[in-house]
Amino acid sequence: MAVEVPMPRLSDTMEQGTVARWVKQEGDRVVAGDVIAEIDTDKATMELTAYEDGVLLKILVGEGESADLGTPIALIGAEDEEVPETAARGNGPAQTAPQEDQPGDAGAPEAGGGEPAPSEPGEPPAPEARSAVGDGLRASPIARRMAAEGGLDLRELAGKGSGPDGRIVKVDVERALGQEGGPGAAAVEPGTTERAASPGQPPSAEEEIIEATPMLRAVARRMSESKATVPHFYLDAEIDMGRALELREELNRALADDGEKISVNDLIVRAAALALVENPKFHRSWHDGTFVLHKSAHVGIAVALDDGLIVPVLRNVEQKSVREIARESRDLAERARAGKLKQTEIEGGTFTISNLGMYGIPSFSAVVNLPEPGILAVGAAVKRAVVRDDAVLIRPIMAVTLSVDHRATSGAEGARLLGSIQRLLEQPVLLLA
Amino acid sequence: MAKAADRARDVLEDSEHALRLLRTMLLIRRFEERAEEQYTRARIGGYCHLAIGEEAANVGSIDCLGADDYLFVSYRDHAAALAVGSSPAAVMAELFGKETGVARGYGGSMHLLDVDRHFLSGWGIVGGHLPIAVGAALAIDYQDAAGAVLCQFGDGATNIGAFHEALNLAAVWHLPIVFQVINNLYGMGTSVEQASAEPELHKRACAYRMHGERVDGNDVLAVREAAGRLLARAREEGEPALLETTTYRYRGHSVADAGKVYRTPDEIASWRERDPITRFVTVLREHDLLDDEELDKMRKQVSDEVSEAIREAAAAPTPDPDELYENVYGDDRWREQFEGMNTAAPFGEREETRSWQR
Amino acid sequence: MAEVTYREALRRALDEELDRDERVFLMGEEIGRFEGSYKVTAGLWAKYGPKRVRETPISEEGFVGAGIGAAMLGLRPVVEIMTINFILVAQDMVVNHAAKIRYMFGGKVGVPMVIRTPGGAGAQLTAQHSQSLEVWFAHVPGLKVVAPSNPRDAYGLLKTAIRDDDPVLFVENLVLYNVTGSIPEPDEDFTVPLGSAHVAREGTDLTIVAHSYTVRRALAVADRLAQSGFEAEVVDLRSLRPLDVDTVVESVRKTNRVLIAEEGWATFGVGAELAARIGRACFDDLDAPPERVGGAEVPMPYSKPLELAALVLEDKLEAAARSLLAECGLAGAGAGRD
Repeated sequence: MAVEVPMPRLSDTMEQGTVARWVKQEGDRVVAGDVIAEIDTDKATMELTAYEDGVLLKILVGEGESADLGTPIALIGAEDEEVPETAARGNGPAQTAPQEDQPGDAGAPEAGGGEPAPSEPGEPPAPEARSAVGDGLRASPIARRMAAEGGLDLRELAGKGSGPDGRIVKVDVERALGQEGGPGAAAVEPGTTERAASPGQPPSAEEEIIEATPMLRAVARRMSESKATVPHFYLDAEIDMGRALELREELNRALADDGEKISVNDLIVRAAALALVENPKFHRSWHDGTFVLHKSAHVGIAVALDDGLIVPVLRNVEQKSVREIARESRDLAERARAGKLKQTEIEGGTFTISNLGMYGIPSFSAVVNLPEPGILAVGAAVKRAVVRDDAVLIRPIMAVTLSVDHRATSGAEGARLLGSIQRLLEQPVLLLA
Repeated sequence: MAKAADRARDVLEDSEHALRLLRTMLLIRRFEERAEEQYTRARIGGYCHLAIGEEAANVGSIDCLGADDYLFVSYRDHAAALAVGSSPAAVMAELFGKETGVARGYGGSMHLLDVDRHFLSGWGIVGGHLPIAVGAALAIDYQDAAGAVLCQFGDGATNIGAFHEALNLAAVWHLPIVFQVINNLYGMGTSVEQASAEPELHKRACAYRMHGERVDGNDVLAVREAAGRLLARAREEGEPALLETTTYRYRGHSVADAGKVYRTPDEIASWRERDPITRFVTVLREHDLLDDEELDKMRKQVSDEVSEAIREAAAAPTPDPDELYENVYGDDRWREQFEGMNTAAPFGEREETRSWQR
Repeated sequence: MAEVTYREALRRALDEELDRDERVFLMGEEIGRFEGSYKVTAGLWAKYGPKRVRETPISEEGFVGAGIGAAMLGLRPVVEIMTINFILVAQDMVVNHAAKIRYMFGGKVGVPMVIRTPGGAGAQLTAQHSQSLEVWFAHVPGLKVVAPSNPRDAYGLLKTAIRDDDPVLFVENLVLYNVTGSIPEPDEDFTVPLGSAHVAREGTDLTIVAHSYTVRRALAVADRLAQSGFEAEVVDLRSLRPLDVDTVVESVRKTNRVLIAEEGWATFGVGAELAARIGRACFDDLDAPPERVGGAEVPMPYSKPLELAALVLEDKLEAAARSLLAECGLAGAGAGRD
């Protein structure tokens, strides 16, 4: 059996060698220890000695030719042996150590030598999330976090921060949230308070005074501002949720194995998003004489906390499936309750949905969440008797109320939006479209 | 001189011992030849320094070590590992980087050791192990123990600062250590004459009022006699010594060096004529301790032993990358101590990211 | 409890460990009859004799190597290097040998050795005698590095270091030797664990992290800041490798602002390591990026005013702290002097 002579490793850094000279020729007798060739390595010219006795049957790599480590460069065997024609270069390295690189895989287009890949026509890396981080709003991470927790929109402080170049810092947020006793306040005498406990009278024995948290203070502030400045009008609708509920059940059966669940609110969120992009004359905000047109629906979902209210925002909802909406809502709600929302997750909404259905409230109206054009208040779906084609049917009816900012849009637009939402929920297969 | 020669020949009265000396030298020779071959087949990585031609210088002195003695050598350490009796399979496995290797695959060719046999390793920094060997002698002295330390190194190490500091400390503190310079005439590609202001290396001992002597490193019996005598003196009197054993390596400094740029073929050939194994075989024949048949049989046995070692080593498993971080520290409490350092450690260092390869 | 100097605390620890374990012995220049160039080993040669308190010639590479060899055979040497500047001639022994032995020998043999050495500047000792090089060693896997800032920690950490089975670099400080503090009585067998930082002063407005002598300066600066109404929390690292990142992170999460101070050069220093870790672990907690302050990045000059300008004295530390507070919009902090 002919033995392959591999290109030997003759230095620790060698990966390839060149046969400088064949000392023995095809047909020569060879004894173990004989020098059979001279090999140029990366460091020096070294002698290659044979480790077997026999005849040099075939030279596979000629003088001046190179081969990678381990590639057979010759065959040594018995005098009368047949040499198989296929014993050519490229059989692959014999007995290479497992960690060795296999350089130069045939055909692999190496980056070196070729042209660089053409770059994409310059799209700036601007996912919505980036611009929502304040459109250049500079704020320290802790300031963002505290603002998020306290429901403060950092845009209110943009450029007015106390840090370098107007960076918004912790003290700015503390002040904005009305906190007292921050650092450096040693000058203030302990014991003085700037706020009266209640207008006029001191608390009686039957009353207790508790400080409001920054979040609740923020809520109070925003609600007052909204009611004071937004000309609200209200539109009611009664939506037959029968088919939507059936669709939901069907979806949940199909998803049971995946452990996922769709809620009624998830369907409503999707319906609202589709309706919003269908109704651009509704889907815009009022800003001091200008309209800001919203291209994508970012829907906020009001989440009640133990002590407060927060509205995490789902982004680009019209592009998301009901499943994705379900997953994200669940995640946001959980993190909202754990106080772990990021600033970007409570900013930038274009519409809000508030659902008190789980409390059994049949209907209610909500306060517009500035600067959005409207907010949808959703009640419980209740079985009622309705008249259809002159027959009395029992159907699950859900009352919704759309509160609208009359500066941003008109009654007709509001009606159209509501109509779209109703249509989508009553023919829920359209939610797939 | 005659006395030394007599003492040297004592071992010839014990044929088993004498043949064992030969066998060890043959084993080293065959192991090194095969190691070179295995290196060219890329089963051994990194550096590989062979002792072909230096067998007598290694074996002669190591043969004199007792159970209480300690051995420290340079990175040209395969010979030492085999001479103390480590299994060739475990040594080859270390060269192959396998789990069954003498350092479990973590050290490689330059860091062979055998703690039970008091072989405290090959070392990678030229001359770096000399102060450490002195420390071992210091520990022996501290504990009033019975042993001595044999510290082998090459001619190249005699010019580095650590050589001077180690010899000075050994002499000033009267420590039981024999420094053996295995002078193969070249430190890598630089001859002793080029590198050393005092090329008769044993004479440097006088700078420390230390005993220095030189013997023919290719005469295993002469090496054995001198080393045995000096080690006994170290043990009994607590006095160090410098023993120069002149020899020659047929190969280059390491497998990456042909050893031909800086040496002439005539020089190499002339040393082959003084081959330590050939010479000892001649002596054994003269004393009727060996015939051709026995010699062939021994060669074959040794060759088979090395082949088997290669087979075993090739089949052994490689260390598990999950154990990459084992043995950086050894104190029982080290994990507790480092707990607080896991936080925000770089990628790949912090526990949660250690399995990034999967 | 006894009220002693840092130097005396070290001496007691050495005495108690020499007494407790026969394998412990000391090596170093002038540690015997001369009682140590900083008198840390005073009285020990007289008490234990030359075998256990072994004086060495000036051969750091030689005697650090000897310590390694002795440790490999099971003894527990405590090697003194007169000042950390001289460890450089033994660098190969410490980094290429002591740190590597256990690992490259597959865990089969270890080096239970302590190298004690003071770093620091301030007495016009000039460039080659004024360095703080501990980070060079904290960088190396296989070594442990500690740097106590007060007598109690010096006492407890030295005992732990001597009993530890791995090579430990024990970094003292020239100025600290005279500082006093209370240490427990010997019968309490008091030790301080490695890898544990200590909050030396609690606060809410910023965190100052330091080690060794700089901790004392940080505490003095914290008092100054308190007069302006700012409460600084001071974290004393005590141990550089292992580094107790968790304690630092906990503090930064509380105060949101952090300054790391060291006597050595800050570039590629302790602050660099901590700032990177804080950036990862406290990203959302930060009110400003972490700040670092270290010695002037020059070889230490001789002339007194030059030396003062180069040191991290309280003024520089205070200016760095106030600059950080100002960056966070805190009125009354006062702008930095840069």
